[in-house]
Amino acid sequence: MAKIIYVEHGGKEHVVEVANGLTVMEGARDNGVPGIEADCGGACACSTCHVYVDPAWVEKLPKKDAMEEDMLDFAYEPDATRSRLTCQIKVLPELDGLRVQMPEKQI
Amino acid sequence: MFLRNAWYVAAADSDVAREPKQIMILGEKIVFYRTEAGKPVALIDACPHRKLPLSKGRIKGDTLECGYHGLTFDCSGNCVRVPGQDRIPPSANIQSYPVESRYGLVWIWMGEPALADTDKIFKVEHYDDPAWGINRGDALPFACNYLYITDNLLDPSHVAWVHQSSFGNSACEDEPLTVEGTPEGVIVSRWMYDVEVAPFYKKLVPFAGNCDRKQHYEVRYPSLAYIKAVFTPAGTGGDESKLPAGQYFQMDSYNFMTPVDETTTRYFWFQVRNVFPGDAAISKYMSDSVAFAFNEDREILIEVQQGMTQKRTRNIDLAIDAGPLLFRRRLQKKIEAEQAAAQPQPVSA
Repeated sequence: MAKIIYVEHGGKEHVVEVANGLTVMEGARDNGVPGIEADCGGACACSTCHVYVDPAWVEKLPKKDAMEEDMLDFAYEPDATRSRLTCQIKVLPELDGLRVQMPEKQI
Repeated sequence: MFLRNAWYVAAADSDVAREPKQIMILGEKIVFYRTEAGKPVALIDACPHRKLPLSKGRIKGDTLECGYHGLTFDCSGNCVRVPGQDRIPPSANIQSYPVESRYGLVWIWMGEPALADTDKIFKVEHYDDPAWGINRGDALPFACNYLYITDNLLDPSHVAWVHQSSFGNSACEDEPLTVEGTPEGVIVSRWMYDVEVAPFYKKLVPFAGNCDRKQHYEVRYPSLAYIKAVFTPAGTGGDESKLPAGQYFQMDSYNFMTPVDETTTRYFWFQVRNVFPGDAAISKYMSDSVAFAFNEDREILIEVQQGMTQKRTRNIDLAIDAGPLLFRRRLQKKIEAEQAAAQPQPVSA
């Protein structure tokens, strides 16, 4: 279990307890957090679960693989260091307190 | 956007003759003809003088003579005659393209001629294998960008909806797909276990009852597809299994797409199979059925081209798009790298 803080583009915060093994995308989807669309359901095929990770957390997350790097090129206004696809981030206890910011839009 | 340093299919062997003929490839007009010895030749289809297509000219021996003022070019594009003057201006030489006949097709290298290597032409296994049969058909013109066809050929699921009377059935709807990027392209594949044989294959498989079915959909750069279908008696399939000799059916379908321009594509195809090697009636059945199915794709992809050009709703990509989009992204990167390398390097101050 980890507490994930999802911040909407307008600043509204959603604090959600997400079970280990789910992805950060699934945590948002299952709790009705708006702003993460996840069209492809987590196949790393669509880039619509894009977020900006809080700078304090960037280094603590597992690295992006090549597929995620490729896909982020197609996201809306990606940031070279902070952008991630939430379907590729598995929740672990050490991610407790992870804070992610939604982009203005997903596509 | 096209990859240039690549072999594309220009035409069927039978479509290149002594008479000069214009074929458009990657938006370029190219004139094709054959030498007296039968070797195919490809030159830029514009006289350097007043730019008349040389395909409107005449063959003289192994040379091509412009139909306007008689400027004459050899197979390498060198100008060998300018009527009315002795001097041949150096800029009268024209571009020639490396070409090679293989698998009943004329292949053309659209990039830097020095990089053309005929060993890099797509390899077709069992092409001349007497134990395998072959069927082929006419090239199909598709009024869509070539990448909508590569999307289609990395999408094994579409057969369940587009080809219900031939390649597909309900078994193809929901079985998950495996996506693999390779140095040559992308492979999307899956096994479906203990399923009914789809309609087109019922006449071809050498066994009765249910099957294990493999769909191997592979597209290699720039836009050359290898689609392998395996049907083996239920219980004998799987990547780790040795398929039972004489009891399984395999069809290797080759689908070579050549962009005519950004919104038109020429689609060359043939299949080889491990059953009924010399059976002309089976070959005809397969060619007719495949042509029918490819026309089903064509009708859809023409509409997709229109719909995607003028989107009325926002773009959506689904899980089934992972393979097609991986191919698009990697091809795009290759094209960008090629274009960057071709730019003149800025001179540093």
